[in-house]
Amino acid sequence: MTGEPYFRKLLVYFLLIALALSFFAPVAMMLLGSFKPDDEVLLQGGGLLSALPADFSWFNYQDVFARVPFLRYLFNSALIGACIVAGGLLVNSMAGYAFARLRWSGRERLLVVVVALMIIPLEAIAVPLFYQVTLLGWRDTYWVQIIPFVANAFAIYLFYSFFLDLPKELEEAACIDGAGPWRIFFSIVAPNAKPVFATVAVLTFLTQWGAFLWPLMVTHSEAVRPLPLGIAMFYSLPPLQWGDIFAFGVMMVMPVLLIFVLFQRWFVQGVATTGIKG
Amino acid sequence: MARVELRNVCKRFEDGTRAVRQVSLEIEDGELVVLVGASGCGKSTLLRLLAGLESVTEGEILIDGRRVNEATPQQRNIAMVFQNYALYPHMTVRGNLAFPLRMAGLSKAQIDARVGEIAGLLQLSQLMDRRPAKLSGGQRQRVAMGRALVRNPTVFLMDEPLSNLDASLRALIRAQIAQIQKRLKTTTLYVTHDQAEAMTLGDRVVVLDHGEPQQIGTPQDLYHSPRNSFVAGFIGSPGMNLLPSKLSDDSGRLVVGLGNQQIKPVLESRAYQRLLPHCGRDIHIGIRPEAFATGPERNAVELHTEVIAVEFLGHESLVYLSLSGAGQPPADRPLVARLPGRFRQPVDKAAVLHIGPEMLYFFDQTGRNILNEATGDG
Repeated sequence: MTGEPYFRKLLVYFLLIALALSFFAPVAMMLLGSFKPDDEVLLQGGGLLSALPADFSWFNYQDVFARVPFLRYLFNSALIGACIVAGGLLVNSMAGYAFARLRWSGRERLLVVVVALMIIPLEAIAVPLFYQVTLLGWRDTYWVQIIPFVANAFAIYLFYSFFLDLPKELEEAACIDGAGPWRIFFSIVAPNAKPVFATVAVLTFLTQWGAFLWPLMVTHSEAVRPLPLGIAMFYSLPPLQWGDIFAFGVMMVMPVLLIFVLFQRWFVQGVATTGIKG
Repeated sequence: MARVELRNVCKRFEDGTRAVRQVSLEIEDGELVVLVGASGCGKSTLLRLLAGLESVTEGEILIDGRRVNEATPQQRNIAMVFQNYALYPHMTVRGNLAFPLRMAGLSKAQIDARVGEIAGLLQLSQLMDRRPAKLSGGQRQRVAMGRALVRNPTVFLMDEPLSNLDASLRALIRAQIAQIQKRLKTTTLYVTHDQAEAMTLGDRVVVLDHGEPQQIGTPQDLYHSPRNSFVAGFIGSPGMNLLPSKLSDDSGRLVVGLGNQQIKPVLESRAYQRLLPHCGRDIHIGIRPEAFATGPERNAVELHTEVIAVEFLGHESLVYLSLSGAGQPPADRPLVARLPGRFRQPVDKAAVLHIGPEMLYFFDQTGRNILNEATGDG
């Protein structure tokens, strides 16, 4: 190997490692902090070694379960997330398929509307949406946290762009073989769209898992509140225990990390084929 | 098995493109008809119209006398092999073969029996648990055929099924298709852009250009009696040489001008009478590459040429020529002669070739074969 390419490769690796460390540092700090007594958490100085807990303890985790109903929050988040993902995969994939393959009047115009909807943030429509769900009497329920987020313009667009690239002959062959539109969608199209299903599932779940503003607006009882509102409880429960917050954070991140690891292969493939990277 | 009839079928797409124009065709029960033409000539569209994947703009499609214009593909009981095979990637060979039968609502025992039968016929028994990605091109092609045959379709459609295979495999599978079609006697419409495939497979061949049939006939008809210059140029490999010419009459003897050469073929009086009205008009003379001979033959006319290039193929050579002194035909379309491999004339040297008068074709300004007896569809 000659000197210049070797040096360039070394530089690239150095930059990549530095970038990876900068992403990993907050997670590591959260993980290590969750095992420290509260008075140690915010101590400065002492170099890298001081980041390690001097006295390794599960106390913060026990404290979380003692101070807030963590399992209830976890159940709520999991239920809401599962419903949004399951409903979203069904509704958005079918909408994406209808845009990509079926011919109906107003299709192009509606597709433009869907694309335009992608750039409108929740914050912009939160107040009118709040009025709407109040009129429907949905406040402080699971429904209010699920129904508005099932249909998702970004997910529809991802499915649409994936289905456009799927060979049309597969569907035509199935049609000639005697399959109707529903059978074609569920038996031929969906099984060949696993990467995009995985991508949409992970992205939707991640977005929902971190949702804070909307649940804060529409829920007030712990029975239906999700994890992000649970972690926020610590800021209003004196004394402020950073160790508890870190422990809560670790337990909140674990399920998402697990899902990502499980679906990573399909997710990466989906990101590549639907062109959402970059 | 079924009889298929197309009556004045037209297809116009939403953007105004007319892909198929006034196609009328009858395919007899058990017959194999090949649609052949260049890319974009409408042959695949015609196949899709018959399959029910596109709707007919005008005209009628009848299967066994029943109008099927509005029928869905499954109601037509048609099977189709696609150019890229369109095998379901997530299913095994067994799953692919069974899919049409599952859609037809057959019991598991019936499906297993029929799938086993077809797998045996197409030698797929060893591959039943593999997915399409793990199959070779030839194996995929056989699975696609099997999936089409498995439910005993009344009509079998094939859209360039061999175009993704290499040359040697193509010849082998072509022979297998012909064999299976003859055995099952399923009415078949086969689309290809390869005239050699069309000539070897078809009971009859339809040559399409710009969505219109140029000629419908047996391979022999198309080769020996092309209805027009398009068919003459398309059929044969290489196709027929077409040379601009003018006819004149020299006291009862027809004179054919080819560049600055004048040839006087001895023609039958009937041919002479037909050609006489075209004297003085611009026409084209057609000569098949295999019509040239190096030695004199009875009644043959001489053509003085210059050798441009020689492609030696072993037992024969393709010799590219220009007409001596005349600068014709244009450099981008030289005259091609198929001569014995022993032909050894060097490039840039003169060569005198001989052509029998019966090997000359005459096409008028519209491209019509003046001496062709046939009318109608040709």
